[in-house]
Amino acid sequence: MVTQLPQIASSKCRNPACRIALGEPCVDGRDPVESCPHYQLDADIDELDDDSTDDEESDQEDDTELDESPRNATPKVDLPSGDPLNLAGVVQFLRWRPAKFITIVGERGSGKTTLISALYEQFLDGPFADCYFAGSRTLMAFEKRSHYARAASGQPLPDTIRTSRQQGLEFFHLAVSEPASQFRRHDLMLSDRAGEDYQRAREYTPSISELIEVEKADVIVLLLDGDRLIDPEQQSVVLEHGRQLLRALLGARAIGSYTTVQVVTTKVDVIADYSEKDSLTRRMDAFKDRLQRLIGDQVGKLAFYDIAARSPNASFTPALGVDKLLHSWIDLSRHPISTPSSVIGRLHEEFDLLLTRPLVENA
Amino acid sequence: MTPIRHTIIGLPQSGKTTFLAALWHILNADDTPDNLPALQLEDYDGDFAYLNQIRDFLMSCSVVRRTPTEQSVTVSIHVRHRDTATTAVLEFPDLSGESFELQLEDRMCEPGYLESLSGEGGILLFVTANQPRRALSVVNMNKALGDQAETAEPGKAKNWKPKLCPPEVQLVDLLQFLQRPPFPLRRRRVGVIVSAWDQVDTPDLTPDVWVQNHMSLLYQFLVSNTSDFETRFYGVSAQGGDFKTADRTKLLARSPGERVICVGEDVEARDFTAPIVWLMRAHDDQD
Repeated sequence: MVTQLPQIASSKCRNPACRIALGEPCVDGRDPVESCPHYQLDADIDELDDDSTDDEESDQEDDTELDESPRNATPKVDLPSGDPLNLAGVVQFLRWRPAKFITIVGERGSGKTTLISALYEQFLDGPFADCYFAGSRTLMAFEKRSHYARAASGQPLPDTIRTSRQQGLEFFHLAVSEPASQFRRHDLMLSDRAGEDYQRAREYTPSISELIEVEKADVIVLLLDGDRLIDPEQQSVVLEHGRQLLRALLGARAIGSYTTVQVVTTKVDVIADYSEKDSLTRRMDAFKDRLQRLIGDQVGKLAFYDIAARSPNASFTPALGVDKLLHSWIDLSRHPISTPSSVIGRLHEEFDLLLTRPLVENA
Repeated sequence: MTPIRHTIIGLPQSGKTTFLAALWHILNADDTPDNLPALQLEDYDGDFAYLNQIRDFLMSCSVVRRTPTEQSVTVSIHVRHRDTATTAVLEFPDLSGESFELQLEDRMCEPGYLESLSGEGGILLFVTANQPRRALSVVNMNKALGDQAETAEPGKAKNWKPKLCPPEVQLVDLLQFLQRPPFPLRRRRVGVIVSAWDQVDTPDLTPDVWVQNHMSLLYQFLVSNTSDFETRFYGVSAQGGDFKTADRTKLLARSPGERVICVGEDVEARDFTAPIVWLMRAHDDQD
């Protein structure tokens, strides 16, 4: 208790060092104060406010003191950062255990980071998609990306920090287990990169060679921005850009015949309220048919999904459709599409060797 | 034979100090003659005055003062099992919990912490049933506020810091540290202690179900990593009730040994030392 103590209480403490009258705690730390042997029982303590708010205020003040306290100067032991993994971090991880690489591509603002953080957030509410959270090497990174969707951030509406080009390529690690299968574990590496890099790849195909996450992907997840799909002026552009990006990646042989390609329409909560929803649905169906004809036989599997990863509308199912995506990634972990020997033949980096070790062993 | 060292881990205000105060009393006082605890005091080293001070607070039904953050209070208690004569050391590496927060913020730990967790001992991991803080989303907050949410003034966004992570996330991170070098890779017993068990609003709930319901991420993590962590869940109340309510008068009429509550698998007669006994048994079970 720090504040709101009646003045009368102070005059009843026999300890002259006690400054309880000034709103400070009992000098002996007694709480409730009547348990203090120096405190006289005839003090008027009826007005004591013991509610938790006061406790929290007190805690905050204590915390301030904590931050000001000198830290021990003895040498410390370094611990893992919990930040997103770079390529070196991924290589180190692969020495420990295999992982499936989920490469999420899409233009700026299409929802790549939101999908990643929304997937993690679901496990805070309980098991998700019949899976348990089994760990993450990038736990702090997930937390940081989820911050502006939390009430603790003070944001009036959920938001996600945009991934900048300066951040380059980052990976988020998520391990899940299946309680129905003796908690069998699956490790997923989810890539995150600024949308501008994928826009450049579509427009300048030599830059595709820099997209190492595409070549190494088990699954390519192409996001189509639902916000832009309901804009008549943007609709055709979004679909064409998506098709063009896939074509560019295939043309550069960054996507192989063993890669699963998932085309995901995001923010379907917005589409649900769109007045021309039926027309958009027909157009989307035609787009999917066309894409199937164009690239269906050139990739391991082509599939389509709809998601609303983080709808601001509370009546919408949280992370709608994300469970199906997670299921599909885990299915792939159970039944991997075999990698052609020609691909194994051009391995040269440690990353490649580690990444495909289980496949080589199975070959 | 060198006694096995067991480590107590918990964030600030998770009930470690109050637990220690009650444990110190129980091991010293033998004031539960009809239900003697399985453990007794073997020896102790550390801050004798501090242990007595917090014990006195508990005896007079005063909330045990939060461990001062300006000093890192480290306590070791040596115990012996009454029946098997097995001995063990309980190490409270930092009662304030400050060092655990620093692990998360600075991504470093004290060499002594590494040393205490490099042996064969287990862990008591403290969480509190008193107002557990969950990760409330903006969407759910707005839903709870209803019409008020639409008219609410946009708040000034706060920058992220590790301290804002929900306690269960912080605890998972602390446990994940133990799964990688420099900590030795081996299977550890983890007794999850839900403190302030008298505050649980559903008395029939078992501690494991409480953790499953209120700290789901921690629960999922523990049951998914049984190769690294063998877990049991306990509910304890060192106070036996709320000192800030009318219960205090009733509690004052009973000794601390009579007030304590401990529930969980294989806990007999509310024995407060049962979680420690389970940690100690790991070595016997392996033999």
